[in-house]
Amino acid sequence: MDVLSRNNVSVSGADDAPSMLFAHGFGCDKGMWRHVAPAFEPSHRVVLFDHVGAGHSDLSAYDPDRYSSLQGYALDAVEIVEALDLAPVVFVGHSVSAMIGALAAADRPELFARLVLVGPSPRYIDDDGYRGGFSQQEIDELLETMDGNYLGWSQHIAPVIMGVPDRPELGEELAGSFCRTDPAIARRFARTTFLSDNRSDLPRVTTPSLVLQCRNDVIAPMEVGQYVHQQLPDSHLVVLDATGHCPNLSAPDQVVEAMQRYLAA
Amino acid sequence: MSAGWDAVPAGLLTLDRDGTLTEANATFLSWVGRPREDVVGRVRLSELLSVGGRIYWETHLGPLLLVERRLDEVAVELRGVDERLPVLLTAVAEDDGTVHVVLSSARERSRYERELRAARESAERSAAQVEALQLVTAALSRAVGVSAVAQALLDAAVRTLGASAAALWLPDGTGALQPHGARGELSAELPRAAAVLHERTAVELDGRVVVPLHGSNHLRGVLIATPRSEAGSDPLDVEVLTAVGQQAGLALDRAGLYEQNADVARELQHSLLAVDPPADPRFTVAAAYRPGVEALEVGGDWYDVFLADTGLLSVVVGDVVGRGLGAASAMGQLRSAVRAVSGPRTGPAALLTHLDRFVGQVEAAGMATLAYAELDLDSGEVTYACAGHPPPLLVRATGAAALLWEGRSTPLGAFASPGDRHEATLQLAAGDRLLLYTDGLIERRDRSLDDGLELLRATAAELAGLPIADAVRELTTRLLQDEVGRDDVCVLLVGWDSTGFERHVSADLTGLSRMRHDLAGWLEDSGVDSRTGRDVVLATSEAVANAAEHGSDRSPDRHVRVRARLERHRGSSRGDAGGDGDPGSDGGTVVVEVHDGGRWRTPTASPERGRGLQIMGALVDDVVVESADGTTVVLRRSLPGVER
Repeated sequence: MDVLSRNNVSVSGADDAPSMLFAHGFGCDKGMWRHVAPAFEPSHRVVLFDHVGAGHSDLSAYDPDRYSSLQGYALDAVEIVEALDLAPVVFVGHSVSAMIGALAAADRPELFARLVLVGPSPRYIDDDGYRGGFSQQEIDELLETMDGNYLGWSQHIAPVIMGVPDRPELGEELAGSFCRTDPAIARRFARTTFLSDNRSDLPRVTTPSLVLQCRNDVIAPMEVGQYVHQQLPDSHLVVLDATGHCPNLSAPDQVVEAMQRYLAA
Repeated sequence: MSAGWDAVPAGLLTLDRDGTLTEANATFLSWVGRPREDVVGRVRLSELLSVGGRIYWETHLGPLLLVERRLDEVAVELRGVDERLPVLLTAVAEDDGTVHVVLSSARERSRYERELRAARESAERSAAQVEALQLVTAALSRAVGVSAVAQALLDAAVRTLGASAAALWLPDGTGALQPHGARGELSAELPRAAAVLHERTAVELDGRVVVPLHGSNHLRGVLIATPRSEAGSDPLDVEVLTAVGQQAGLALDRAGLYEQNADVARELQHSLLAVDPPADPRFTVAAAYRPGVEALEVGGDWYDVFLADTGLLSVVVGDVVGRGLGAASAMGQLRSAVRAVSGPRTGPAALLTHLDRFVGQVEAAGMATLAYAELDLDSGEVTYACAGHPPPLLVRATGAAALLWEGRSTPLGAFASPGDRHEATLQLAAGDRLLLYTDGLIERRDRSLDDGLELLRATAAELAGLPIADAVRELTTRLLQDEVGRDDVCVLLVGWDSTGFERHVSADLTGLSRMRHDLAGWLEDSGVDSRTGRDVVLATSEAVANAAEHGSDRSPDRHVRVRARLERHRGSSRGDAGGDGDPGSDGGTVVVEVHDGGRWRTPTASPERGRGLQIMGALVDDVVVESADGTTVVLRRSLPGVER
């Protein structure tokens, strides 16, 4: 298995510079980093990839067993770092990929120089003394909605392709295919994402980490960001003045600035 | 906004870059049941969606809108006044981030889609269930025997049905369930509630699925499957497990019956192959049977060794078509028929003609093949015939070997008419051997029959010098080393020794160790066990040393003669005289005579010689010193029951 084609890995930026590996979250693909990654190209070798099942990854490589836990995705990240000989790498993970990076760094600390965790959550479901933001019932409802958009996941791609106005800045290859995925895989990824509990893994992460928390994020609320910050042995918390779960798209300047400041320190 | 804005029968919104409502028309406000001042400028659209829709928006639709600047007909649900309201959402974003949204009610479409989806899911689920069930059923039906069915079931539970672990209990002789095997990590315990085991369906219990395996009359076992625990894993499908349990119960039924049959057939075959060869110092025989390993069923290969008449030894190797109980019983009938038909004046060709008539009445023995030979123990003449069977092999004492292609005709009963059966004769010299065997010894998929026969011939020739039992063992080992064990194999080697053992040792004892070696070989060829043989050789060499010392004064010109023979107790052999009193231990007796021309002084005259006799007495059962025409020491040692 060629790891690089499996995960649709792309490399850009400075050749002999430190490496930075960007991992997208649930529901998206590596195009998610379009406003953030370019800012690091002068100073870093920038590596982007799609999780198996997302974007232009090799769907035939999707193994329900391997990807039924976040460990499978963490293993993919490790394999990419090793295949490209990136270590020690700065890992930038959004949403569920923040935890994927944390797991990879906990298991293989020698491969990771820093972690940047954008909107991380080790567990989405409320538990005794822990507020994750959702009840088990609400997550079940999400899975139901995913099922309800079984048609939607694949169908809304077509009108977008037809309806693309003249917006060349999107780039040919991304037009109409952003966040495209296989509905059955998306549903499984949703379960893996929202039903996992990785709270006990956080204290194992010794890699210095930056936690980027949006002021108003309904997916990963402020308490969760603070919890992650407290549980990580060596972390720094920055609250972005942004709304929503995707500051990398909605407030990229703040994300870039916070990262640059952290990496320079 | 115009009056039309509010009157449009669709929800109309504008959002800012964050997704916060900046305008909403009356239709939308009525759908969510909230006053304008509650929502406009205050809430984000995603907060007005169901939780599922909110996550979907935040993780997928929002990013999509930011990048593509457009969403078309996305199905989401608004949190309405009393219920969730399915809507289709279409949105475009302007350069400054302003988003225009149209929501149209999708109650009907949504209901229709739900039905479609349910039908599709149901169809997909059925297809997946059928596929899983087919895989498992195929695996179960390929499995032969209870153990194989158990393995197939456990493998299927883990590989096909998605269990992280599975354990199987099967009833022991008393019907109590005992752990039989497991896959994966499992704390294997039967559920306390025995009632569960009598359900007809699989039952979820304590996070595992208990699957009773009912045969047609009995509980044949219980499978316990543990689901995977990873967040993204599928739950176990209880319906499929129920169906698999039914299949497995019946498969265990079949396997149990099959094993009973196979046991009976094996028992029968075992008794048929437990040949008790007649004993006679003029021949030695050894046979090997190697059952096929692939199937539990017994094959149809058989052999027999018996006296057709006094001094006439019959050897036969045959192959009955088919396997299992039918083949074993046909083999038994055919074997009896061969014994019954053979006799002093029958001869191989006539014997085959009789057998043709016999298999005409015993259908299962039809098309059986066999090689049959009669050895005249006095003259060494062999008469043989082959009915559709691989040719016997003649192995000369000199090391030459030749396939015997004469005396051939068709398999038994196969359209043979009287007169079609042929026989051939040949003359053995002392030490020559005749090899009969079945096709499993020589047939391989990847080589021609001729190559197999030539390999057999060359190998047997190389082994001509080994004692008979060793030669059979070595031949079987060498020829079967590249074989995958599919077929059963039968080999029989008979050697003709015209006389017993006789050697002369010069009284200076220069030939003593040679004699010991030869005697040991002869004893082994005669089927004497190695421990007895060693004792006999020791006692004999002591007797020879005594004879050389005391009878011949160690003169190199004088000789000590050693003769040895086996006296068998033939009470159990057909038509033969013998049986000297103890039919229960029919191993026979080794008799060694050590003769010299001199006259011994009385046994007690010399302490040294007396010790020699004591040693002999300790090694054999009986020592007799006869003084007539020189001195003869006769040593007798009875043999334990002979197994060949």
